[in-house]
Amino acid sequence: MTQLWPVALIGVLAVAAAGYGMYVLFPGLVKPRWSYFFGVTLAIELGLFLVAPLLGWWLPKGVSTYSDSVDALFYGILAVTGVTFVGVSIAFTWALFRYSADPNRRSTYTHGSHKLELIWTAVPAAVLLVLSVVQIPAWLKVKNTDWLKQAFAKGRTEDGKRFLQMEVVGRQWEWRIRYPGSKHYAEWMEAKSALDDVRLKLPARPDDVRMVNEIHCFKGQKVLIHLRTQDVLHSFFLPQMRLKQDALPGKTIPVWFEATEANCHKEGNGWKTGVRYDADAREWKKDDAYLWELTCAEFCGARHSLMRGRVYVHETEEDFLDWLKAQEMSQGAMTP
Amino acid sequence: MILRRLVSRYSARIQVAAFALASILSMFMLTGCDELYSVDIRYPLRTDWMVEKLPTLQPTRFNPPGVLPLYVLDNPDTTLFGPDRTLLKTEAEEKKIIFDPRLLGNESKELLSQSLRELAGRPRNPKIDLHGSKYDEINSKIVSQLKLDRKTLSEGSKLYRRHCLHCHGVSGDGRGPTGVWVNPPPRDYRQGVFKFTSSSQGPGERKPRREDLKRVLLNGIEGTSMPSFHLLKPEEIEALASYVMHLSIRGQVEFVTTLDLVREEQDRKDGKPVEDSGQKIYERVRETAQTIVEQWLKAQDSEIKPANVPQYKSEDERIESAARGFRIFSTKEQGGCIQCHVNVGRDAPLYYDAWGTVVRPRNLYLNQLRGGRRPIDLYWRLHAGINGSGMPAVVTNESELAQKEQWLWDLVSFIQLVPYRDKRVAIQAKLDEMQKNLPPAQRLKLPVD
Repeated sequence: MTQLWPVALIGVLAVAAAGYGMYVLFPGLVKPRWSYFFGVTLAIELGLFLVAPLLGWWLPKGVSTYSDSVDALFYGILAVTGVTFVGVSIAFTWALFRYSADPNRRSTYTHGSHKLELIWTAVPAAVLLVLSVVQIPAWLKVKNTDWLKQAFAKGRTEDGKRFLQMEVVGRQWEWRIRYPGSKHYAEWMEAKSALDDVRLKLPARPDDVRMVNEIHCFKGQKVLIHLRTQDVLHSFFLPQMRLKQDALPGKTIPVWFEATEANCHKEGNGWKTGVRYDADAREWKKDDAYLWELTCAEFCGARHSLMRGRVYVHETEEDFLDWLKAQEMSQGAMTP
Repeated sequence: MILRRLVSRYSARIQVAAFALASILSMFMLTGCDELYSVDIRYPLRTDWMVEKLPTLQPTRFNPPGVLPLYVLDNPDTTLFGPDRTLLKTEAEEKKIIFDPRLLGNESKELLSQSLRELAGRPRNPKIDLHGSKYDEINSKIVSQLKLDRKTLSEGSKLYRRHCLHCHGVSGDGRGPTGVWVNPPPRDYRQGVFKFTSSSQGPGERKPRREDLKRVLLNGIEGTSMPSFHLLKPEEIEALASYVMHLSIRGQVEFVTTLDLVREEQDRKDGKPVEDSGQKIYERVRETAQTIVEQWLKAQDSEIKPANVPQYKSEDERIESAARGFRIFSTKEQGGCIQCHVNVGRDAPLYYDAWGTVVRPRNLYLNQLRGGRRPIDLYWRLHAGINGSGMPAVVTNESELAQKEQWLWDLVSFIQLVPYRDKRVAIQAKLDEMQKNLPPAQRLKLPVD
C-alpha cells in the first residue's frame, strides 16, 4: 500500500494543475479565483485523509500494555487538530471566494480588534493546556520506571516475577542485541540477582547470546532494555509496542515494554514470525499484521532506512527458553 | 519584436505549459533511478599498488581518514607519515615485493582489459566464462557448483549496486566514495584473499566457502563498518555471495596477470633477459582464471572440521583449559601468539597487511571478535590463521593436527574468557596452582587489570 504514496501526490498535483489550467485557458467560463485552486486541493487532502485507513495507511496493530493509552492520546489530538483543520480550510476558502479581486468594490481597512486577538490567543492556549494535562498519564505509563524503583526498595521484583533484561546497542546501521544465557536467566528468579544486573546495566558474560536485528521476548512479560549506541544518535522504535526512545552516545537508557500478544512459533528448526494464533482453529495462521518491526527513528546516516529488524514475541516462557537454548547451542556454549 | 508580440499574446498558454512541464518533471524525479548499471560502464583496470608479499617493516601510524592504503608511495608529503615513505619505497624498488601497475604499456593494458571483459563481462551483464571447448568442463562447474550463472550474477549486480557499491566500489576494490572514510577499510576483493575462511587449503590458495561469505553478509562484522544484511531474502543473499565471488575471480585474474606483466616490464628495463613465453595475454588470462576457479571449487567442499569438540563438565574445567591456553599463548615454541599480540594485544605494534593497509593485532581484552564469536569461528581462525593479515596458522600441516587439536581448544577457551575480569582472576588463580612446581622465572602472569 505504501507504493500509493507517489500516485496520491501526483494526483493532487495533476488536479491542481488542471484547475489552474482551466481558468487560464477559459477565462470566460471560469472566473480566475484562487479559491477554486485551494478549495479543491484542500478537499482532496481531506478526502485522502478519510480514505487512508481503508488503504492501510494507519497505525499498526498495538500490542503492548500501554499501546491503548498512546493510541487514545493520538486520536484525541487528531480530533482536535482535525476539527481545526476543517474549520480553517473552510474559512480560508470562503474568504478567498468572497473577497476575490473586484474592480467595483472599495477597500476597507481595520486597525486590530482586541476582542478577536484575545480569542485566537486564549482558545489555542486553553486547548494546549488541556492536552498537556491529559497526556500525563500516558507518558507516565511509558516512561515511568517506578516499578523498578519499588523493586529496588523492596529488594524483589513486582509479585516476585522476574523481568527479562537485554542490552540493545545501535550502531551504523544495525541493532546488536545481547541476551543473558539461559543459566543466568534462571538466576533471575532471585530478585537480588536481577536487580544487581539492573544496577550494573547488564554486565557482559561469556555465555551471553548475541543476535543482530532480532528481539525475542514472550507474552505477558516485562522486558527491560538497556539501550546504548556505539556511534551517533539512534532512536529505538518498536511501532507495534508504541515505544520510541532515542539512544544517546555515552548513556545507557532503560526502556521497557510488555507484549500482550504472541507472533511467532516454532516451525521445523526455525522460528516463524508473522503468524497469529487462531484460538478457534487451534493453529497458527499467517497474518502480515503480525510481522512486528524494530526500526531506527532518528536519521543516522546513509543506510538509516535499512536499519531495521524484527520482533519475535513467543507464546510462553518455555517457548522463549527453547529458543534461547537453541541459540546457545548454535553459538556453541561449551559448558553444560 | 515579433517574439515579444508572440509572448504577450500567448502568455497565458505559456504559463500553463511551464506549469505542466514542471509537474511532469517532478513526477519523473519522484520515480527514482534505474536499478541497473548503465551498459557502457566497464570494470576499471587496476591502477593502485599491488602488494605481493607482506612488507616486514613496521608502519609508524594508521592511515588517516580519507586516505587510501599505500597513499604515502604516491605522495611526497612526509610530515604525516614520518619515515614510512622512504622505507616503503625501498621495499618496492629493492626487494621487489610491491609493484606499480601503472608501469604497464598501453598496448598490454588494452589487451588485458579486453580479455578480462570477455572473461567477466561488464557490471551490467556480469559473467564468468572461459570460452572455448577446452574449458567446457570448468565452465559447467562454474554454473553448477559455484552458482555463477548469468541470471544470479545480474541479480547480484543490481543488489550490489544498491547495498555495497558505495564502500566496496564498482570492481570490488574497496574504494567506493564512503570506503576511504571507514577504518578498518572495506575489503578489496581483487586479490582473492578473504580474511575469515573455513576451508582447509594451503595458505596461498585458500578461498572462502560460500557459507563464509553468507555468514558475513547475514551477521555483519563486529567492530567494523560492515553491517548485517539480515533482512534481505535468502535468494538475495545467495545472489550477493555469487557476485562477490565473480568480482573476486575477475580481480584476482587481473592481479596475477598484471603482476607477471609488470615484472617482465621491469626486467626488460633492468636489462635482464626476459623469457618470452610467446603466450598471448588472452591465453594467460584464461589459464590464470582456470587455476583460480579450481581453487574456489576446491574450497567449497573442504571445510575444516574439528576432530573432537571438548565438553567441559564444569566451569572449573573450562578455566583450567583457559589457563593452559594462556601458557600456549605465551610460549614461543607452542602458540607464540604473544610475539605479535604483545601484552595480550594491549601493546601490539602496527603491521602492514596484504592490501597495504595498516593493521594492529587484536587486543583480546576488548571482546571484539571480528570473524565471529562461536567457538568454531575461533577454532577456524586459529587453525588456518587470518588470510592476508599476517596472522599465521597454528596448524601448518594436517599431520600436526592430532597433537595440536587440544592446543586450539585451550586457546579458544582462553580467548573466550579473557575479556572478563572475574574470569581473569580465576585464570590467574588456576595458573598459580599449575605453576607451583616451576622455577619462578618460568611462571607466567596474566595481567588482570
